[in-house]
Amino acid sequence: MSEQAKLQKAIEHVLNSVQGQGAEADVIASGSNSFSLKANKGELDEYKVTSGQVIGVRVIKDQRVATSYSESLEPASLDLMIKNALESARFAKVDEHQQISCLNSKISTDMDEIHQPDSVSVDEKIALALSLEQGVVNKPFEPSSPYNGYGESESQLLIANTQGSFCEHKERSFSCYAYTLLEKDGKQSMDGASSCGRSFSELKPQFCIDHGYDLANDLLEGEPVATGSYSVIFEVDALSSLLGAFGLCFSGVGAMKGVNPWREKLGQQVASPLFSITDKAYVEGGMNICAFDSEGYAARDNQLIEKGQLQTLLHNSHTAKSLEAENTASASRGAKSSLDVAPRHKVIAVGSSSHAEVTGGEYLELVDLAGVHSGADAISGDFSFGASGFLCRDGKRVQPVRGITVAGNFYKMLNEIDAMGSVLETSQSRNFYAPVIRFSRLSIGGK
Amino acid sequence: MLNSATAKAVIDHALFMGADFAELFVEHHQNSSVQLVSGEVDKVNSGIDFGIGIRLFFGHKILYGYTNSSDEQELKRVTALLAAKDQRDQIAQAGALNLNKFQDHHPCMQALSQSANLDAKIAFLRKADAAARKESDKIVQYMGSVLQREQRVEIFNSEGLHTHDTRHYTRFAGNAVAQEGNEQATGFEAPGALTGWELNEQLDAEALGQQVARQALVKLNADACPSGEMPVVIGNGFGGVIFHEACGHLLETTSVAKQASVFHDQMGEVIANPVVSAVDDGTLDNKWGSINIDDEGMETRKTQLIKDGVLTNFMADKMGALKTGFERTGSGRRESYKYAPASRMRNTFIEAGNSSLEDMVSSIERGVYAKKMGGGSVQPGTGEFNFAVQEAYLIENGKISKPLKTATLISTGPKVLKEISMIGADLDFAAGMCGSVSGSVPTTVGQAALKVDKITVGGGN
Repeated sequence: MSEQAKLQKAIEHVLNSVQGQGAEADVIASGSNSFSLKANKGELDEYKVTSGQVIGVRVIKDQRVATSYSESLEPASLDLMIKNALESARFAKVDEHQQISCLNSKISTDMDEIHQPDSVSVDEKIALALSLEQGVVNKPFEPSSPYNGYGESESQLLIANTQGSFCEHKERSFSCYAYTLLEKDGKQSMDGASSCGRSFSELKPQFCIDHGYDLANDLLEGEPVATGSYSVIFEVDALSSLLGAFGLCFSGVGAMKGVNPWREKLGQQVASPLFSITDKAYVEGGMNICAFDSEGYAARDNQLIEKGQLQTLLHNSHTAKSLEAENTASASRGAKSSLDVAPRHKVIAVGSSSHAEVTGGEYLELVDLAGVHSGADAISGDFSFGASGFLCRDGKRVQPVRGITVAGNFYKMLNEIDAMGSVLETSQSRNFYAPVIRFSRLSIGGK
Repeated sequence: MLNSATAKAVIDHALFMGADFAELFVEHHQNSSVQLVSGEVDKVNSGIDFGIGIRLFFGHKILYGYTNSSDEQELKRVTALLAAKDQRDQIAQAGALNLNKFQDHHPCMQALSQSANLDAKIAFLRKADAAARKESDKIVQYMGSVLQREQRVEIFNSEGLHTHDTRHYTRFAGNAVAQEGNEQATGFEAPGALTGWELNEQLDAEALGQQVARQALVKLNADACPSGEMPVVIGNGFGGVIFHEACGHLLETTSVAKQASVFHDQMGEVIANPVVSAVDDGTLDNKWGSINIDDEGMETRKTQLIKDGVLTNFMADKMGALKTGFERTGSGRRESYKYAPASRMRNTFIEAGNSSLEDMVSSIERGVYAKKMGGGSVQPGTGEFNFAVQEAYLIENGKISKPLKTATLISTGPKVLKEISMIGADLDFAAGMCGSVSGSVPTTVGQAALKVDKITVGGGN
């Protein structure tokens, strides 16, 4: 029996059993095969081959909800999973708004673009993995590459519910990365880059080697700037991680729980009029493409902020009903987790400023942020991170900068934008797109 | 969990294909969580993970794979897939498997597999919620959760090792939100231990609720933290994250073997101020980061990392020991069967000194008292680290004055270890999760309050 057939059989078993016990449910089943390599000192250091599967159920009985999962598809394990979920549901609050509401959805992400055949040999993949390290080591000043790797994954996702929905998705992805560690005159510097794609040939190992090395080399002599306020431009990946840390402000779940600071700001100005952002279901080359959300609703584009005005939050059917808002088909749930919301591809609209206009005068270009997971308070908006980059003047890097902190309030920062560039840039993970944005003033801690 | 004969057959198959070493890591992991939001039960989740990780050594190369099946043919298929590119004539013979059960130093009275105790957990959470809200009407939200896990592991290897262990984890989390006008602030605590649900008997639900509410209220009208280099007193308990990030990760053979640690060639040298002695100890009774055996089946132990400022040990797993020549320390850990083990911290702390908090504060004209720390991260190659301050106060003229908002402390490991000049006597511990190459594992950080003479503080001022 194929992997897909096994997952389908397990789903049928679960849905029939749940219905037989007077409950409603949706089920997420996923399976994946992956292969990854790491190199060290000219040889393969790690060779990893994995395959896994998991099935998760969200049951609703007497308007009470609980979830449970199992990594075994054996009928006995599935029955235990259902039993646990139904027993747990007895303890949950009564919630009339959480329902299995997606009716007869039959969507398939049937796209060659995201599931391309792979005929590349293992030897070629090993050669790429070794070349990542070798490419770094061959650079001047005897650098090393302590962290590098190649990875690929093929995954399938099935979502079904007791209301007749059955959606399926398949994708394949490839990635590689390389970090450069440079040491010169007792100073160390490390930086890296990654590349991802839907086929092996899409990968850009040379970009990973060059970009990581160039940054590590350029930052080697970096020193802190004087403590004070600076105009700041974040490199696109740094900006992506900064916005990711404050994703709560777009969350319908956060609003429902009363912790989203924008929960009562719909239609109000929350950012500079220069700032517009859309969550797009499909972007050419995007790495988060799926034709449906985790409840089975057809994915769609959602304009979140238009010219600084908050248009909508991200909703699933539960938050939409609770807050009397429109469902934006942004449901997000893994087999092991509860119903939530998540964006797919965040796209900040380009502005009208030329590159020269955005980069005029003195500013800090921050290329790396450290501690974003711990230094951001999404509720208050306060943040403080370690950072490195360059002091720039009129678009030119004039001094490498390391050992500084950047601090501010995210919600105030969005209102203090000086200029918005006119060219869209793509993050290395290909799920975030933004032009160059110049923020007026942020607090920099240095010497 | 896995038949010994099956394990032996798979190991024999791996050695037949030319592996120097083969290991099977079998895991059955049950978990249960309940979350309270707005005084009501918002989420009740449960699940069971089961899988088997297969690790082969060919020289210094690690081949790793996993599957959810315990079927012998499937395990052999994964093994053959792993070894396909390195297959050679057999050079090692597998030893007979001998079951070795190590003593359980961390007993559990109320295991998850006996009962999820959801009624009692919800009652605990409600009590904490009520206590938090009672602190002030400015507390507009409280979110609390209890997570309980029971991880059973069984390990076989080609050296004849067959052992097993069961680890019981229980952790509470409380998060309060205070609001006044448009200002919002949060407080957070998450105590945990390597034990069962009986942990609730050692914790006071009301005190937990009050504590997070107080943290949120203190920050609500706090001033922005100053920025720049200055002296900082770091509070006890979770303050130990400074050592975890600044030094701990750099002493794992995971980075030492790759020479990706600034300390890789400094064994026996002075790397810290002589007041600093530091330990990574997996044996502390029921501590969150403790283990009976590591995930390679070795009995864990106490490892003195730094003594009076001198580097005395690295933390080594099996491959790390092979690559560096340093002795294994029972530190081979992994999040689950999905990861190959790597050298990781357990309960890591700076040993107590004899200064008082008052002495430290009074020695500072202008600086910061970082009473409660948040998480952080480090770049091992350069030793550059950062960590967040969750609750901070300004020190002016030798006295603690007003509360401050969020800040980050940054420096490098080698630099900050030499800047620690005073250590208090109030050693305490706190639970956390540490992410690295072998996934996210429970670790404890700890220290007494200590003074860093100079460190870069990043605040909003």
